Amino acid sequence: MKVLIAVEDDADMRLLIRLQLRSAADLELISEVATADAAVEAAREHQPELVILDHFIEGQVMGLQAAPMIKEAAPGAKILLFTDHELSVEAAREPAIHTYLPKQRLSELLDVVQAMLAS
Amino acid sequence: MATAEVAAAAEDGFQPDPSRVAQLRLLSIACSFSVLLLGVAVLVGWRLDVPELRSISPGLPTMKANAAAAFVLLALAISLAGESRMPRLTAVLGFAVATIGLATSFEYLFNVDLGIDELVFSDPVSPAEGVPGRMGPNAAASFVALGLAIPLVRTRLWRWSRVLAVFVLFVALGALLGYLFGVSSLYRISALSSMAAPTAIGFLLASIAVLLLRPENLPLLSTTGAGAVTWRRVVPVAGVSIIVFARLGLAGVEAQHYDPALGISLIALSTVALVSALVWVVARSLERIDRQRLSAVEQLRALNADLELRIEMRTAELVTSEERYRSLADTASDAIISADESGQIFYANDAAHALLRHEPGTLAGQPLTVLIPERFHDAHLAGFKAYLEGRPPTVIGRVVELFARRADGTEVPIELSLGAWRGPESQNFTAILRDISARKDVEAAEHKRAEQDALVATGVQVISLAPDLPSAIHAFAESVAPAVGAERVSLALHDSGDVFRIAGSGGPAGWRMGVGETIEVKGASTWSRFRAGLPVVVEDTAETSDEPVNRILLQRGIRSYVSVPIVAGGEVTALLSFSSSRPGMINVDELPLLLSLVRQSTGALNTLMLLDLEREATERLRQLDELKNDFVGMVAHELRSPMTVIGGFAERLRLDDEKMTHEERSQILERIIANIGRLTDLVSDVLEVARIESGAFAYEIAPFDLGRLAERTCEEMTVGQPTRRCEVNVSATNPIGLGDEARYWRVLTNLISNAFKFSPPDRPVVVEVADSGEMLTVAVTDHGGGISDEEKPRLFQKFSRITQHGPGPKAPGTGLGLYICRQLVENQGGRLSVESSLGEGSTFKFTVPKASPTS
Repeated sequence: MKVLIAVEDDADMRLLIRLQLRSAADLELISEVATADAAVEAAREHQPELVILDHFIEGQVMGLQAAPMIKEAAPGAKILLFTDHELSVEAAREPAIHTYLPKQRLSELLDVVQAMLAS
Repeated sequence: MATAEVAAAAEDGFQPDPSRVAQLRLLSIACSFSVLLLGVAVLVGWRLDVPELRSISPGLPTMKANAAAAFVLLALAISLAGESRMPRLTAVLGFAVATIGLATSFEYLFNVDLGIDELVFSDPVSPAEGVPGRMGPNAAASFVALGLAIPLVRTRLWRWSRVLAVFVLFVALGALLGYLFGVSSLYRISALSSMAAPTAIGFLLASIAVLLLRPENLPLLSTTGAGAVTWRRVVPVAGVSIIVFARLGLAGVEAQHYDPALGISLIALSTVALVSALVWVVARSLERIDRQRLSAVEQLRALNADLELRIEMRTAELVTSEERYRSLADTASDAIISADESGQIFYANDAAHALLRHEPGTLAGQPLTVLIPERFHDAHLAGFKAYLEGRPPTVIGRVVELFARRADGTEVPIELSLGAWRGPESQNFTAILRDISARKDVEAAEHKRAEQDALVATGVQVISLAPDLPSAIHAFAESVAPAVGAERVSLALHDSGDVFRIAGSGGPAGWRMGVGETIEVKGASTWSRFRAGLPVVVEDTAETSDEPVNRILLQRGIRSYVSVPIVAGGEVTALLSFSSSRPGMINVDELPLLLSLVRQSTGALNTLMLLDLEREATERLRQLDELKNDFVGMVAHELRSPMTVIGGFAERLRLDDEKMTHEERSQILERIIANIGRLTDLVSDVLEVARIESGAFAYEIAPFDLGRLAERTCEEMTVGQPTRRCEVNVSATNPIGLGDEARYWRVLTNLISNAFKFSPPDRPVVVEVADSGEMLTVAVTDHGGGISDEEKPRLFQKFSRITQHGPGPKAPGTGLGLYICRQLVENQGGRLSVESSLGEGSTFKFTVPKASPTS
C-alpha cells in the first residue's frame, strides 16, 4: 500500500483527485490539505511516498516554494507538481520536484502517479 | 645781379682792402728797416769818423750819436710792434726811446747837462750847433712822441699813437722842406739846436712806419671808398707836385730868370692847373663810382620792390588761402584741429568743440593730450616724438579709427586723418576728426544681431536635432543660456488649470529641475499674462515674493527669470523659462532676444511636444495593449480552471459510473453545474469590464433614494438565507443620490455578498448610509479576518484574489467584482475605498453625488 498526500485548496479538484486515485487498489490518499504549512506537517507525520502538490494554494507560501520544505520533512517522498499554471521550467529547476503535470491533463494523473512510484 | 651781390658791392668801399692792408704793412716794415739802416749808418759814421754818414753834406747839422742809437732802438721797437709779439719788450724799447728824448728835452728846458750827450762818442764837429753831441729839441720831442706812440698802437688809446705819429711826420716834413728850400728856420729851433737832414728823414720814415703798423685804422689808406681813393690820388700827387713846382719856381728866382713875384705867380698858376687837373680826374673817377653805386642802389631798390611785391602777393595769397581755409574749416561739419610741434592746439573749429564737448573757442592753447584718453598718452607722445625726430610716420597720411576724450571725460569713437605741414615757425599738424559713434553703434548692433541670429539658429538647431523634449531642453540650455545670462532653462508643459509640469530643463551647471515635477503658476498677474501670450520678466523673486509662484521659485533658488508662454491653437501649451540664481541676471534688455529665440524655437518645440504626446499615447496604447493581453491571459486562465474541473467530472462519470453511489453521482453533477455557473459569471463580468473600459457604458443618471436601495438590496441578499443577517442604518436625513441606480445596486450587491463571504454567520453585515457633506457615503462592514496593508492596493485590480484570513471557505469570485465596483463608482464621480485591519474586519466605503448639493 503506497501512501499519498494531496496539497490542493480547490474542493472540486480535491474531489477529482480522490475519485481518480480510488480506482488503484494499492494507493491510499491519506491526507488532503490546502496550505503549505499543513502539507509539511502531514508529510512529516505520514512520510508519504508521493505528494501531489498544487502551486496556487492557500496561505503565503506557494507550492513551488513548499516543495523543498516537504522534501525535507519527508525525504522519501516524490513530489508531483500538479497545477494549471505554466511552470514546467521552474519545476525542472527545483530538485525537490520529481515530475510536473499541468491540470489540463487531469485524466493522466493516475498513470503519472503509478509511473513515478514505479521508477 | 642778385640782391646780396649788389649789397656787397655797395658796402665794399668802406671795408679795409686786405691786399692793400698787406702792402701797407710791408711798407711799414720797409720804413722801419730803413730807419734801422739809417741809425746804424750814422753810428758807423760816428765810429769811423765819416762826416758824410753823419750829415748829408759838410756844414749842415749832423745827426748826433744819441739820435742814431735812439733810431736803432726805435726801428727795433717798430719791428716788434709790427709782429705784435713780445709786447713787453716792445714797450720797454719804446719807453727807452722816449726816455732818451725826454732826458734831452729835460736838459733843454732846465738848461742842465745830464752828461748823456757824449755818452757814446765825443762830438768834436759841431760846436757851432750848440752843446756838443746833443740832438735838437724838435728831435728830442719827436723821440718822446714816437717812443710813446709805439706801445699805444695795440691799446685802446691807438688813436693817440696816430696823433703822435702824425705830429712827428709834420715836424720831419717841415725840417726837410726847410733843407729843400734853404729855409733854416724850418729845421733850426735856435742858433744852437737844429734837426739834421738824416734825422728828419729818419723821423719821416719812422713816423710812416708807426702810422702803418695798423693800416686798417687808416681808412683813407686802406679802404676803397670814394673818399679814400680821392685822398690817396690827390694828396700825394698834389703835395709832391706843389713842392716840386715851388722848388722849380724858387730855382728860377735864384737863377734870376725871373723876379720872385713872377716866380710865385708861376708857382700859383701851375699849382692851380695841376690841382684842377687832378680834381677833374678824381671827380670823373668818383662820378663813375657814384654812377655805379647809384645803379647798384637802383638795382637793389628794384629788387627790393620786386621782393616786397612778391611778399605782398604771397601774403595776400596766404591771407586769402588762410581765410578760405578758415572759413572752410570753421563751417566744416567734421572736426578740424591744428597743433604745433610742441603738441599745443592753435586752431580748432566749431565742430571740434562740439564733438569734444568743449566750450566754443576754448581748445586753442591747450595741449593735444586733453583730447586723448589717458591710456593712449604714452603711445601718442612716443609717436609724436618719433615723427619729429624724422622717423617714418605711423598715423600721418592715413585714416585711422581711434577714441577721443571729451571734456566730460567720456570717450567717443572717431575716424582720424592726420596731416603734417611746415608752418613759418614750426612743424604743424592738422587732424580731421569724424564722429563714428553712430557707425560704431550700427556696427555693434549688426554684430549683436548677427550673434543673436546665430544664437537663435543654434537654439533651433539643437532643439530640432534632439530626440526628445528633455534632451532638447538640456542641449538648448547648454548652448543658449550663457549667452542670455541665464544659468537654467526649463520647459514646463501645461498640465491643467494653472499647473505646469516640467518636461525638460538644464544649464551649464548641470542643474536639472526634476522632470515631471509640477509647478502651480498661481498669482493673478503672472497667469493672466501667460494666458494673453505675454512673457513674464522677474528681475528679483525676493522682491516680488507676494506673487505665489515667485515665492515657490525663490525657495528653489531662482532669483531672476524670464518665462515665455508657447501658445498653440489659442492655448498656452508650455512655458519656456530662463532663470538665474542671481538677481537681475536676466533683464528686460534680453527680452527681444529671448522672444525671438522662443518664437523661432516654437515650431521645433511643438514638434517635439507632439512627438512626446505621440510617444506618450503610443506608450499608453502599448500599456493598454499589454493590459489587454494580460487580461486575455488572465481570462483564459480563469476560464481554464472551471473547464478542467467540468471536464474532469464528466470523465469520472463516463469511466467510473458503475462504481459510484447515487449520492456521489449527484454531488458530481452539482459541482459541474456550479462550475458552469462560475463560468457564466466570469464571462458576464469580463464582458462588463470590456464595456466599461471601452467607454461604451451608458449611465442613466437620475435622482434616487440611496437609503431605500440599501434596504432593498439587503432584503434581497438575505431572502431564503436564514444564516445571513444584514443591518441597514440610514443616518442621512435626505439620502437622495444622483446617478444610475441599477449600477449602484450592482455595487452594493457585490460588496454585501463579499461581506457575507468573509463574515462568520453569527455576525451581521452592516450597511450604513450617511451624509458626508458634499456627498452621500455608503459603508459596508463585515466582521471577517480583515485585509493586510500589502493586499489593499491590489484589491481593486483585475483578478486580484483576496486572501481570506481566519476561518471560512475560499472566496469563489471571479476576481473582477471590486474592479468593476470601483469603475462604476468613480465613473459617476464618487470614490470607493477600504478600511481594514487584520482580525477586525473590513469596511468598504463608496460615495455618491447628492441630487441636491445644497442639502
